Amino acid sequence: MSTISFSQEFSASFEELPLGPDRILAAMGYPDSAAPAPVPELVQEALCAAPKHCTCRGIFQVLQSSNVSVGKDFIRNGDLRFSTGKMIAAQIKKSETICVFLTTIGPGLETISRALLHGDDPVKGYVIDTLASEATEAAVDLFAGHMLEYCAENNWKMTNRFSPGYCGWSVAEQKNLFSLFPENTCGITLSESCLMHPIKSVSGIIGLGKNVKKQPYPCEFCTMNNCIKRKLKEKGQ
Amino acid sequence: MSETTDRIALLVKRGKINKASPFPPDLKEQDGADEQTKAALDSGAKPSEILDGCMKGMQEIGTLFSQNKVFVPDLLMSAKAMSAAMAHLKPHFQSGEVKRKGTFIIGTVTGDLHDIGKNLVSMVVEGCGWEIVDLGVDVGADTFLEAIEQHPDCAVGLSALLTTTMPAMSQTVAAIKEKSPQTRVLIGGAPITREFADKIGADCYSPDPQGAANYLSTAAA
Ligand code: B12
Repeated sequence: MSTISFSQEFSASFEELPLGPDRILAAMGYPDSAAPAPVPELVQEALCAAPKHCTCRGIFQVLQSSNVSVGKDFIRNGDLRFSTGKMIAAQIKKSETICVFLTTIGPGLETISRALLHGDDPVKGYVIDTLASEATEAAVDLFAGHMLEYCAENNWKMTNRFSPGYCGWSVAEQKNLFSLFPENTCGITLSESCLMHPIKSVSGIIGLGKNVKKQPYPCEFCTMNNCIKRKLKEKGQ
Repeated sequence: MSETTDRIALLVKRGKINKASPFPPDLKEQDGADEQTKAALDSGAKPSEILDGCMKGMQEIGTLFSQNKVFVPDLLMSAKAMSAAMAHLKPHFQSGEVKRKGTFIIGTVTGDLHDIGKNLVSMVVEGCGWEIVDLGVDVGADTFLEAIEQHPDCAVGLSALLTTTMPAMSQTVAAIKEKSPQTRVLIGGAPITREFADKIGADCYSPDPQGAANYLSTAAA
């Protein structure tokens, strides 16, 4: 018996992603256009070149709400248990069901950046790598935005998205998450050590329901104190 | 410190590779680490003065990086300038005229493919005067053991970026310590903590490359 009540695949070109130079520079750590030459130039160059090498694909599947229950530190879909930890379970608690997703931007940019990083232009390679990471995050947000239309039909709202490997949810649980998707969905595979290929991929869940809401400061859920993103946020405050 | 050392240090810190490189803009059309090193050696400077310059420059940029005052691209540009200077030192290393502090073997552990962090550590440790043997990514304990056999006095660095590959790190440390208890093992990567390092018997944990370089400098002294 299928436990999926709705499934939608999305694709998008690089141009559709809300991704500008400031976001990429900020992801590298540079505040307020303080990046030294040639970094801003390389970011512009990478933004121009990226569309040719990047196809964003995602799949979002809504689980049948009658099958889904949320405990203190887990979410259950029939026999399948996600040990998400307390923090995520608390955020999902009021949801009527969850949506599981996978998104990737494909292997194109990753291949180019790796060659440059190991070749004679590591700075350019790193700029492209950062752009690709940000593009992956932007693609998830774009597709999640499309899911809002589906939610509106049911009068539902969405929680933040949560991924295995964050907020106390073990990355080893990728195996459980992947069991809900057909093999090789969107060209994404999972290794024995739970690494996704292409590397620039993100997986996760989102809570859906009438009484859920998105929290404005996702860093507050997270326990990784020495994360560069947290440090940069704190520095900016 | 000699004038040569200071000049090389500045060029490395600022990431000025050679004359043709337009960066940083305020040093445009000036000689870079490449030309300065060649000129200094031609006019009789000691290779050790150049090495000292590279070390000083990399130490300064590495420290700024660990303080979040400069970022990965800055470090990569400095490393490139350092390599340009080091290229001229190759024959002097081979002849034994100038010596490295030791050999640092580094790799990302089994199941993990992340390498940007590992590469940054290599660059900073190289800049600190060590010879680097980079075993790449997805490296098993056996490969580390073979490399240690070839370089018995080396130190070893292990990188992991996923919690699922931390057990492989633990197994690798155990295998190294069993076969070669005197080999110092340094570990790092986003999910790694000092507590984990203590638990698995690694000698050093550092959240950034400079911490590894500093540890190696003290340990080797
Ligand atoms: C960018 C990023 C991504 C990008 C791309 C990742 C990539 N591999 O290309 C995207 C958005 C695609 C992504 C996806 C995921 N990510 Co991610 N990601 C990051 C992020 C924000 C930065 C990683 C990075 O590039 N850092 C820059 C480099 C230079 O830093 P570094 O490798 O850590 O190295 C530094 C130090 O660690 C140290 N160091 C490294 N090695 C060594 C070795 C020694 C000896 C020493 C001394 C020091 C040292 O020195 C380096 C320089 O300072 C980190 C969080 C963070 N702030 O670090 C999470 C992080 C790596 N991701 C994480 C996770 C969980 C994921 C996903 C599994 C989430 C999901 N379920 O979708 C996926 C996995 C993707 C896959 N293919 O399987 C976790 C991994 C830890 C864990 N829980 O297992 C992290 C740590 C975030 C967290 N939760 O804390 N991610």
